[in-house]
Amino acid sequence: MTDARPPGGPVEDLDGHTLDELVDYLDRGRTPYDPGIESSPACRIALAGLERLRARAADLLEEDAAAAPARPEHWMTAVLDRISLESRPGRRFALPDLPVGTDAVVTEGALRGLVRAVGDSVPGLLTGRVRFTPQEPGGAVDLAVEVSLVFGAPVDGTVAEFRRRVLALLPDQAPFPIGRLDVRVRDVLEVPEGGAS
Amino acid sequence: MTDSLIPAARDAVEAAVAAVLGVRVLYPVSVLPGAERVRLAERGGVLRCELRIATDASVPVGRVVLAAAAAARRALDRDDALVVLEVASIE
Repeated sequence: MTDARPPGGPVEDLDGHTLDELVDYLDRGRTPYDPGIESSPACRIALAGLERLRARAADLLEEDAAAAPARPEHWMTAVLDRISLESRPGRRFALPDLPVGTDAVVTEGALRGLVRAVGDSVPGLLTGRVRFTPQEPGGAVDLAVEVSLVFGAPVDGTVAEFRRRVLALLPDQAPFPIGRLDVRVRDVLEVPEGGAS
Repeated sequence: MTDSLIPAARDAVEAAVAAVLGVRVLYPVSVLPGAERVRLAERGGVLRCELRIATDASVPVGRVVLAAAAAARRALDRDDALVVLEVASIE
């Protein structure tokens, strides 16, 4: 199994747990059941991200190991850092127009986790930084996402598919109208095309 | 609501909300060890019910929230209860 842990990266706190602990927990097949981890939204969001990264990294590292052994560490570290940072709750966005007697918020961490999951579902794309701009009361919120593409994935088509999937899902989950969606390709992972999905 | 009824009410709310379409998990309402999944408090005649949930991305969040709040009120048998929800993850 690919070891997707931060090599020398920052140790981030996720409701009292570190990313390293979550990697070890995944290694054990999420057994024995750890109620502290499974009862933490931040840990569950991070675990989901780690599982997706592992699935992707297993393909990429296998293809890339001989050609550029230092490269995976760079991008994996960057992705792990983002998973750790962006799994935290962050801001709380109130759902508008609820009936009297019901108040509800959606955390920024939940929305970032959703966008990351959507991005990682697109063949040839890995999600980097996900950022919602500060919210004006009642106004649209812009979303900026940094992504990496696997070498061989068509830039226009892959980004367009990512945008399509985000805009199909996010309006039903975000408690605000979506404004601009800026997608910035930060990196191209230089691996053979066979590892791009 | 008297203190002696609160544990049973918590269990009833937890079961009812967990059964709502689009609710994946009820999280403890705080990260403190042993924190309850349903926090109930009555003050000034207003019963306040706090929940923190994971939702299913295939169901619009507004629909889940309304259904969860209605389920909590039914379980409490209190139409006037204030239900406060946090959607902490969308899966």
